[in-house]
Amino acid sequence: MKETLTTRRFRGLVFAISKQAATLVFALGVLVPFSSAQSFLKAPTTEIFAGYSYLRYDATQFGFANQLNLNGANVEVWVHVYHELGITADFSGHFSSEMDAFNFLVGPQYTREWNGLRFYGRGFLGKARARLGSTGNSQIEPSTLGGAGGFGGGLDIPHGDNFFFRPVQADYLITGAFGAKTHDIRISTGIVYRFGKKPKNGPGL
Amino acid sequence: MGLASELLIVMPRTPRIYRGIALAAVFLTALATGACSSAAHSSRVAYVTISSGINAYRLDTVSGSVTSIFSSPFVVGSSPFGIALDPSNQFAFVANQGENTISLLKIDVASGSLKEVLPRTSAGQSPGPMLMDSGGHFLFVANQGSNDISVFSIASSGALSPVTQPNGSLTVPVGSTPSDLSMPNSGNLLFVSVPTFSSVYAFTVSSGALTAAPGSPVAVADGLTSVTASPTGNYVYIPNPATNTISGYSVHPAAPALLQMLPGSPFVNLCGTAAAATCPTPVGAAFSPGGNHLYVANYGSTDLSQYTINTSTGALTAITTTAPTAGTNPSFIMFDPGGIFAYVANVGSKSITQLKLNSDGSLSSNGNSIQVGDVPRALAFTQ
Repeated sequence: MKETLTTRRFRGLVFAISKQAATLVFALGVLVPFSSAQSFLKAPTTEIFAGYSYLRYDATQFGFANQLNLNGANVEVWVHVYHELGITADFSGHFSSEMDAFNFLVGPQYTREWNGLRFYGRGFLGKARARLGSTGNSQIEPSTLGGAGGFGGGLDIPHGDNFFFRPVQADYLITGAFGAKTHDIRISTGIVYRFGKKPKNGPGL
Repeated sequence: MGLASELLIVMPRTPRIYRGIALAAVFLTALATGACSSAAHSSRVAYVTISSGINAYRLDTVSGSVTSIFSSPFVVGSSPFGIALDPSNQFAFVANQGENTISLLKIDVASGSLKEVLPRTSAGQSPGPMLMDSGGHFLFVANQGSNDISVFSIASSGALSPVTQPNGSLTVPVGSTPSDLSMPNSGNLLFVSVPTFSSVYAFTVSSGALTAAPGSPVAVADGLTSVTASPTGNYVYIPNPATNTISGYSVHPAAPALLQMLPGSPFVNLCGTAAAATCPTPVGAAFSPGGNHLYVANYGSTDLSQYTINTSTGALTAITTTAPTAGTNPSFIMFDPGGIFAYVANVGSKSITQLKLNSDGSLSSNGNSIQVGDVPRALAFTQ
């Protein structure tokens, strides 16, 4: 009995530490851009991407005959942190007659100029919501919220001082849905707008 | 020279927009190639009726791997029992034993989901086992409360219309509780097992009309729970659970008695590598798709019996390779339409065991099983 209680306390302590660690990581992620020397003087360079997005969704994990093709939109906010590093917050929604999928992701992004183009790669963590639209006479609530993660990248072509054309952005996403893990591919294309000037010692063309 | 190398040479001399688009095109082509190379196998869906609804599972037609269809179980009427799917994969029919109706459900093959089309069709009392002819034109229903058989014609919309029988009624009596139905591929004969009377009723079938066959009903001395007709319609086998034997009959449509007992019948029900090992309580049987082998589920053993059929005489010869193993209290066996896998419903372990059909006619485990979570009552597959 005593041992069980001890174990419980230990688990509680681990949970508390994990919670503190998560809070710290979150705080660092959010505050770092503002805590740089330059951020005391002005807001960090920010870019917004918006465009069309296609999602190849691995619905076979919960009984569909094939992977599903979903269409939708992708919006991102990128904030410059340090040199080539930034943080990206990513939101996307994809739709088909069989199901809808939404991703809410955030993660670090590395950007590099090369030969007049701007390339970037990033990793993500976040949440994903999936909603089934074709469930027949089911007993089960056809919506799920699960963890999500992934990585990807793309390239930008500058157009003028503040605009970029993003011909392709590809991400590999792993999402938790209905108790299964899906392995999805997302392709997006659209326009990037930069607020302010190119950051000093940072990417941007 | 590779495309990437050519691209690198060309790139410095071209405007940025073209460079970017060219790179994007190369990337997307690579991605598409990767996606195509991981194309999925074809699959079919298995529907299993349980007391509260219909569970659904997607089955890979090559590997046999099983994926639960998330949105199942699908809810229909009270206490679903028999299930039958039309050969075009459009409709499923389910007997709601608790409310004397039949549900029509539309199948969404892509998702595997079922959607009921109301209203439900009235059936006899306590409709149980169901069977559809291979053409998908008629649905045969065993009413276990009213002790009779109903036949429905199936419209292209899936709507059911009762077929008036030669006796002027919408049902054909079978005396007591019908426990199983079986029909050869030709669809011209119907066999009904009636355990209470220890007999098999045989009917000739013409446009859904049932006419008692000569010599019907046939008394089965050793008792029965089910009946299985060969795909060709030449033989009928009946497991005898009380005596651990299998009764075999040849079918003679033009003779004064449709069913004639085979020489040597009843056959001792054997299983395993030792040819003399008797397997207890045989209850359900199934033919291999070619009709050359017979498999028997033994309620009192996890081992299945498997036989080679002498197609000239109907005699059964036990296959003495290692007996395929099912779960606890196996009750019936079905082959999928592809004829590669057999599925054994286990009452005790509330599961379905998948077995692979080997070239020598034996069945062997491939490690796949389905945990149904309730007693599997009936099973049906999409094509």
